[in-house]
Amino acid sequence: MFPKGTGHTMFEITVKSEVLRNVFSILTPITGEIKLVADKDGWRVRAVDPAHVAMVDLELSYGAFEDYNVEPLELGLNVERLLDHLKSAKADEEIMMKLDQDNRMIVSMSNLTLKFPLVDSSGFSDPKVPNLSLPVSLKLNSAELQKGLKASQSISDYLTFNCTEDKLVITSTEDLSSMTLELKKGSEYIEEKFEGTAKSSFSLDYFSQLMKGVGTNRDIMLHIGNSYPLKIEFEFSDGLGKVRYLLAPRIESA
Amino acid sequence: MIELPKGLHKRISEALKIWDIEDLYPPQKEAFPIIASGKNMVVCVPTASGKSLIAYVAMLNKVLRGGKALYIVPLRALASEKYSELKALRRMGLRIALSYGDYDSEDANLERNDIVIATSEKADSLLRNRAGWLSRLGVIVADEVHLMNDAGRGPTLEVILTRFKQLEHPPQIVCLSATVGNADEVSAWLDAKLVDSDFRPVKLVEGVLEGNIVTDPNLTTRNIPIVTGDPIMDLILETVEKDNAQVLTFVNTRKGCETAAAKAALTVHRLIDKKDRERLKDVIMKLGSGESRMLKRLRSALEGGCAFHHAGLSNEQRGLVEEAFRSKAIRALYATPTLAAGINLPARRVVVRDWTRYETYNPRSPIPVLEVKQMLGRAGRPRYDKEGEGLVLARDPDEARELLERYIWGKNESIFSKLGSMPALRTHLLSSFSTGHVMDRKGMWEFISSTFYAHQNDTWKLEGDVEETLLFLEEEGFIYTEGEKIFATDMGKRVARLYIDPLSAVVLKNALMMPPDEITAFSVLQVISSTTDVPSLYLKAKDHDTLSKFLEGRHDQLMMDVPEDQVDMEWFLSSVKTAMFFMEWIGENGSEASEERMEELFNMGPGDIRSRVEKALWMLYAMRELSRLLNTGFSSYIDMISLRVEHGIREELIPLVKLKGIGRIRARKLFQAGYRSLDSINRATIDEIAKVGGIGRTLAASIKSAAGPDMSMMEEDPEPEIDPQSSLADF
Repeated sequence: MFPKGTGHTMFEITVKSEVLRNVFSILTPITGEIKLVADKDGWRVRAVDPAHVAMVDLELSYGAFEDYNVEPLELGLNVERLLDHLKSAKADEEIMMKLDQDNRMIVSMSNLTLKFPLVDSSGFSDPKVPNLSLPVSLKLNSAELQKGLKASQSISDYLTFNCTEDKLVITSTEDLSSMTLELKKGSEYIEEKFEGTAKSSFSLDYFSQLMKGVGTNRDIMLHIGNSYPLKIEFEFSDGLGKVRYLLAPRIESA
Repeated sequence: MIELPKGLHKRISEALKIWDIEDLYPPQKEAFPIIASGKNMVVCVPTASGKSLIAYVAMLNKVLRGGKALYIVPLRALASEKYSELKALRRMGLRIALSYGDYDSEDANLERNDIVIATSEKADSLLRNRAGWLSRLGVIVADEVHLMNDAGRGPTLEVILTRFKQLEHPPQIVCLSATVGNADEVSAWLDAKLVDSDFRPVKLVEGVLEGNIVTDPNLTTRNIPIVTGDPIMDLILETVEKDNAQVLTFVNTRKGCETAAAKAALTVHRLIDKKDRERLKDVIMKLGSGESRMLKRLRSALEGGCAFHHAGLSNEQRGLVEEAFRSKAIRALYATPTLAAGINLPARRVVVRDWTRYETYNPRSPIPVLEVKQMLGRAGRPRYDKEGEGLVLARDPDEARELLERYIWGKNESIFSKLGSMPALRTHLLSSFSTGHVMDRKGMWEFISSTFYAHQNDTWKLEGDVEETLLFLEEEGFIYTEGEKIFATDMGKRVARLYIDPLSAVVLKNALMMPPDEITAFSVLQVISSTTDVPSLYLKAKDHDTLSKFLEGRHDQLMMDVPEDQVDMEWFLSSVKTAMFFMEWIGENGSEASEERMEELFNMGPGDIRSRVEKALWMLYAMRELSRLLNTGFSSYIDMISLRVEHGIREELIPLVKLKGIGRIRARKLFQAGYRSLDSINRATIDEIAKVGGIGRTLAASIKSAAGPDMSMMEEDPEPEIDPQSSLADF
């Protein structure tokens, strides 16, 4: 919650529309409303979806902003709505965001100004980030995954990742149909860590949502375990923004 | 590529692609421009003719522009079916939600969704609890609008539509309906454009089956080879052998379904090949090892490639039968007519075996044309069949002639508003006062005159009943008047939000004001069983003695006076019988009754038990809330009874059923094995717990780790499957 009563807290930033768009489109696959924690070093957002299946942890350094004038505070924002408004802005257009006397957010871009109340963030929980140690870490381009994602959508509700020594096989099976995507070490991905085979299944719906946030052509680090959450890490805006997505697995009972 | 009319959002073509739609049916082509125009619309087309797509496109057209949509369906089963179709739209970044569950709860995340699917009862309660959200809707779709004709649920739907119609900025209203005689009247009421079509993607030939002769509407006849001499049996044999297809037969009683299916299995048996036999065996295995008569019959029917489908089966069992029928492992399915109103389960041939049914005013009352046509309309599987055949069975040539006239050539009935009934009036008037929708007599009459009832009748006919209702509501303390103004009291508002008949609230309220010497499970269960919202069990002649004996010595537990009057006494006794039913279920007489025992005692399958339990839970909740409001101090006792009814258990099992995956049966086994608390489970090892019958290692591990405080979620099934989706909180 932002402090109430004695005046209002300073929050005034200017930033390229592209950066904001990046931030919001990374968050919206998880949730429509977020609690933004801002201080002198930059922004941080942690959010989970209502079912606690997917989580995002995003950091954006103050260096990504054109102008940054912020006292420590927490803001509830409807990012879905903001993202909608940003669609009309050009990539390098400067956006100004400012908190006014009545704790309303003012967003201005070129000749357009929007004002809206903050979302009450008091009810937002601070998600606990699980401490994961995953045996496999791979570096690859998200385009490699998008291919399989598209193909599996008509097949099943979930995807299985199976990583052995020299390849990562992603499958989606139901009844008689199946999709198999084989990625080879050295050609489609670079191995960063391999401490033993890893196999986990994930909801296709959720995974597709995350991939929407990742985008179609981005270098990512993929971490997999055995019936353990999946972790995707990547950077944006020249490394000034860092993202971590976590996705809980499906665990079939014996 | 489908060309969309001007004014429809461009991204709708994306959705059509997701659903693999390559071509539009004529009614769809007719409806799309109306959707684009933003006008209200009533769509009357036969089942399985692409009605749903019209609804989906109407919703997309608004939500893609940032509006919200509400989809109202009559049954939960339908809500789930629509949900699974609409879920695919998540890929387009849309949020879809199913809203059912407690009527007075406020789903916290509701307004985050673009499309909300709800039953009409839930939608009505949303109107009472969440008027704000509903006023932001861009479109509402009401499915199966012809059910406005239904005395029980029709008024609710009618009131919802009226409310929306009356909004200052009303949303677009799209109504889907089966073919009815007065579609024009419905569309005139809603100021809507009418799309009325008899188009079907699969041709339907209707007819009458008499002896081995099938007569079509043009009086052309065809003979079925006589093998057994039983017309339906011979039709099934012909369909299976010659066409390699399936038959769906509608029978009006559950028992009739069961016997017919078991009998048919003896003949169909020899036509089942090895592969299907394996699949059927698999279904039988998944049905579990229950020993109830119903399950035994279902198993023996399945062994011969036949099955039955009715509300006595649990959701899970019904799901298994539906799946096996869709995969064609089941060749002949016998179902009660509820199937025709609900899920989509088409077959090459459909037979309506019984065209009359029991009604109190006429034990052989003919089923309305509308309903028979809906059953016949299930014939013909899109994409598989060129043609479907829907037949009504006649016992002799005279009857054949009569049935041709009544059903095959006959016109569908018109539908009529049922809002004029007293229960509908008191429920919906109270709700209008409590939401502030209506604040005085003038507003009340404005509301009444916007209804379909008023469109069809003169409102002065209602004056007497309305006055009587107002008097009742005021006397019972639900409303108060100041001159022309009318307000709901706090009690009245609570009752409206609880979504119960005000008359039930009066029963609960009076009982709470008359505390018994000793409150027991019986006290509470008898009270809720005497409300109109919990259907009582049918009283048989021989029950009188049993019940009187049961009541002896229990009088000081009662929370109401035993009536003197003969008719009231009947009503009272059946509430006692219903209470006994719940008492068996929660093991009040020693141990929790098994499903087999419940069937033996009360002739009820798991599906019946579930639906009664859900109604009882709702009434218990209402009683608890009223108890709080009246400060009677029974709240925690009622809560405890409610938990017991929910799970069907004695008090000592309450801590155990809070564990996910543990229902009444496993809880009892754990208890018997000495695990009497969460603590004792925590102290045991996984292997020790896994030794208890019916609990494998996976479950043992999951219950051991589930030590969190909040596990009391309502589960649909008594022994829920574990959701394979884990949560990040587990790691």
